[in-house]
Amino acid sequence: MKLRWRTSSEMDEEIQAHIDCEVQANLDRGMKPEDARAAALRKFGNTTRAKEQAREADPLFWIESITRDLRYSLRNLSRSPGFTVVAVLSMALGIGANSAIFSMADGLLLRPLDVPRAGQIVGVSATAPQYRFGRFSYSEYTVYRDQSRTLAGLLAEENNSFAIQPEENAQARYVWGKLVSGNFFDVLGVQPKLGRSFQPEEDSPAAGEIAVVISDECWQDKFHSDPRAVGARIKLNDQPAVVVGVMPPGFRGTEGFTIPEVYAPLAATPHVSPSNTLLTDPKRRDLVLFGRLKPGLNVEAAQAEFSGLAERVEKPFPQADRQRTALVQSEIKGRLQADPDDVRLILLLLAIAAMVLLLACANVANLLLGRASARVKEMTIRQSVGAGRGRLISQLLTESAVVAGLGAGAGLLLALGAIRYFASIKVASDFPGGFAARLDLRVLAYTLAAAALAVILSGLWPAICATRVDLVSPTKERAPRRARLWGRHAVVTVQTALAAMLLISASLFVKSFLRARAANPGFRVDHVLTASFDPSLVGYSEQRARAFYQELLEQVRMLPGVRNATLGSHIPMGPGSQWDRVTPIGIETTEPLSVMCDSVEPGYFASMATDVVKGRAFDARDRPGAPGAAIINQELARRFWPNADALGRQIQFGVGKRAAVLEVIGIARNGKYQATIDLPAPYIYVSFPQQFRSNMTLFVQTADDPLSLAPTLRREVQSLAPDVPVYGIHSMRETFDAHGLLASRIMAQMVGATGVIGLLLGVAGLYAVVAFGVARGTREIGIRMALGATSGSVLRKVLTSGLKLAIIGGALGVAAALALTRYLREFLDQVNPQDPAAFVGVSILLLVVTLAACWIPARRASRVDPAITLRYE
Amino acid sequence: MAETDRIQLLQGTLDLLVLQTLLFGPRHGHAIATAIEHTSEDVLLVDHGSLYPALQRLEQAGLIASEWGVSEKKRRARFYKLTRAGRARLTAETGKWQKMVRAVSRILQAKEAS
Repeated sequence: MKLRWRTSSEMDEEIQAHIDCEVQANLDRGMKPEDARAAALRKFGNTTRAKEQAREADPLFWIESITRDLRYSLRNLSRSPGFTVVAVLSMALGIGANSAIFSMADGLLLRPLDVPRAGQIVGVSATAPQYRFGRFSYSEYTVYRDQSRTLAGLLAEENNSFAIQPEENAQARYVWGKLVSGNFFDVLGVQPKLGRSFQPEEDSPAAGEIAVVISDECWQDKFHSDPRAVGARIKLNDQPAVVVGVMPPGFRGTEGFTIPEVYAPLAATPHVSPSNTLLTDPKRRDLVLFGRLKPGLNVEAAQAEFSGLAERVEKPFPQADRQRTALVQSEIKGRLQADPDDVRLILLLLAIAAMVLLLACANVANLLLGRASARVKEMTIRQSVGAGRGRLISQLLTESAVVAGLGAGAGLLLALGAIRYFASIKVASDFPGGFAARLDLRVLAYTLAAAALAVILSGLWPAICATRVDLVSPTKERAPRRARLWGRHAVVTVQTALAAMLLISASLFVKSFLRARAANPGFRVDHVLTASFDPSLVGYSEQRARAFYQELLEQVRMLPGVRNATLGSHIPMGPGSQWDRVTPIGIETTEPLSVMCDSVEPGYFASMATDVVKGRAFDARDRPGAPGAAIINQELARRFWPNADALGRQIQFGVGKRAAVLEVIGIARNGKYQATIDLPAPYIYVSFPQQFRSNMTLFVQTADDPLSLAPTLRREVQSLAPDVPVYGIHSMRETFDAHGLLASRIMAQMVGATGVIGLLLGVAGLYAVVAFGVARGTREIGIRMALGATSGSVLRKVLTSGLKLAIIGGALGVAAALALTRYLREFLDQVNPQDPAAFVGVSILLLVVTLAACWIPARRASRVDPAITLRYE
Repeated sequence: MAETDRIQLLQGTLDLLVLQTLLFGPRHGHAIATAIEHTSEDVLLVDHGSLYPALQRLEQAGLIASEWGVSEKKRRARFYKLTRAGRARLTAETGKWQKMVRAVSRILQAKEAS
């Protein structure tokens, strides 16, 4: 079909020409000029109607009708600025909250990898009945990589920390990065912005110098954005290396949160970490695999192939590996399944945002219903002169769309502020990274969808109500019909209920955050400075590293202003954690449990104020060669020996060659190990002299501000071992605030903000209804007062009418919250999800705010002058 | 819904007549209207107002095309002409119409006879 839009001036001209022809014809027939014109017009009939009908035949007619509706809506809205401002603000809050939370969720979890054609990327994990997302050995990887025909490429990676010296003799810097297969960048389809990615020979045993690709962040920070960095000779873990490429800014590879700074080929593993037997030991399963599907092939095809290939790989544990196979999943699906906690958290936040949107829609619907009553006369007139109801509804919906559109625009500005805030959240880590929240097309699309939903939710019902007019009864000002008032009351009740629910969850989360901040997490938080080391990265042997740590402890303990110092391998609530497989001995059926583990120096428990509730802490007896000792927390004791005393029992620590038998010599009080929102988790302490770790953290207990000791500490390390990089110099308080409290704080902020928004919107709705009732009922109030009602009784009546709505809505909200908050239990720390204080407090708050909101219209009502109102009518 | 049926019938008829009139060459709106009236010996009265929606509709359907030109009275006017699709439609519709007329008149005559 031909799409042409004849302009209306063209149509005018054509019709004018027609009439002129007719006039001419009439003149030719001998009519008088004025008669000729009149007859021509008569013959043509209604020109406007002809034009309209002709226009409607045009397929692009709807554009014109929309433009006309839009223009009409804008004119209408600008005529009632009060309504417009409140409605747009409501929508801005409702839509903005959704955009902000979605952008957060998207950055945290949902967004596809930032690589070309991310939909082709699949994750491959090892599965067996005992585990689901296992990793692979190097020999398994090579089989899959070389024999797969469904994948265009299969990459392997392992996280690794590095000490990097940008120049010979420069102080080594500690960075986090990856050992990757040579095809890593080719499979992902992202090339360095400077230099090149790896050549095949660079990931082979024949490789000479270690080739290194660095991130843009590393290039800026460690190479001062020098373009000559490509080709620079550097040292990586004390080995000669050369930088071959610099990745584009923000490249995170397969990571979502952190930005790896250094990529080195897997073939370099024996050089950068001599103890890592990854390449040669088929029992060492540390590799994470990602592949790219060949165009046109799907995950099922790859899965079928990998199930077959899994039969051909080496099985070093004949018993346990009998059912070991490979699971192929789209990358995003694997990510969501691997992080069920994050998914639940995000769903909760999105649900709360949806409630805010619902509340905003209720608010606007409420306002629109009020406008509808005020526009009865207009609608009646327009329908009686022949406007179709469908046209009127679509025109009213256009008005809602304008409101939602303006609201979405303003909401995006709000969201942009929130996104800036999220992106600025610093995680206590020396490594670059953070929430990848940003305003992109995905967020825009989500915003648009939210706005479209808001138009329907807020506009449809009021539009239907507004156009349902009675054409028979005379068009006069009159009190709104009972049904319409009933509708508004229902909307306000829902609004109050939603506001109550939001407020209750907000107060629960804020309370949980405050409790978590004040609570004893099970370790010393104040007056502690931490500093981390890994001497093996600069080539220290175990013996030399032990000596270094011994000397470091002795030196630091003697520093002025230091009360005590100790060592541990895990920073409580810091980024990162270590896990080991622990098996109880003497219980047949129990499988090894993956447990967070901490190798600590004997003085740790006293120095860090971590309670050993039963048995003893480590001491000089637990030295190398002596019987192995372990201290487990109450949770681990409960898991292994629910009905018996764990003290004196034996456990197997680790698996394979490194496994050791340890005796439980103490039970430590449960603490929080990763974040304040953690549920009690099993934890095991082992003795540092017996279980050496190269990567340790020094905990210094200070008399004063711990950070003031940092320069002294740096100097001390410098003089003791100038080649050992120090990293992560923070106070425990910093780490605790920035990392341990992070999730709790973000939840409290987000849910708290939605609670405040909910209160504002809920109260605005209540106020609008009560004020509207007073304005509409002025005549009734006037009559009552003329008949002797006191202003006090009028005041009371209006207040009660508002309170009645608030109480019904509030009660519904409280009941709904009681039913729903138990789903919040896992997100709340040390707070009962049905905390009576929160419920009662919110109810009182709602009542007080309601009273205040009703007070203004109530007072206006009580001051009605009967003489004036009655005369006005 | 007798009302809508009648409108559709009228519309259909007008479309057919417009197409037929254009068979003999391009014409502008007024000429089309007068041609229908003259040819039908003034039996059919064309509502000039409804002519333009019909023209617009036919043009959208691709049955006629239009362009600005100059009329015999030296005035600017929009001329319509039949497209190939319009010609085909006219043939088909004329056949249908004649069939219908024959059928209807047979029925009507039968009724008179009984």
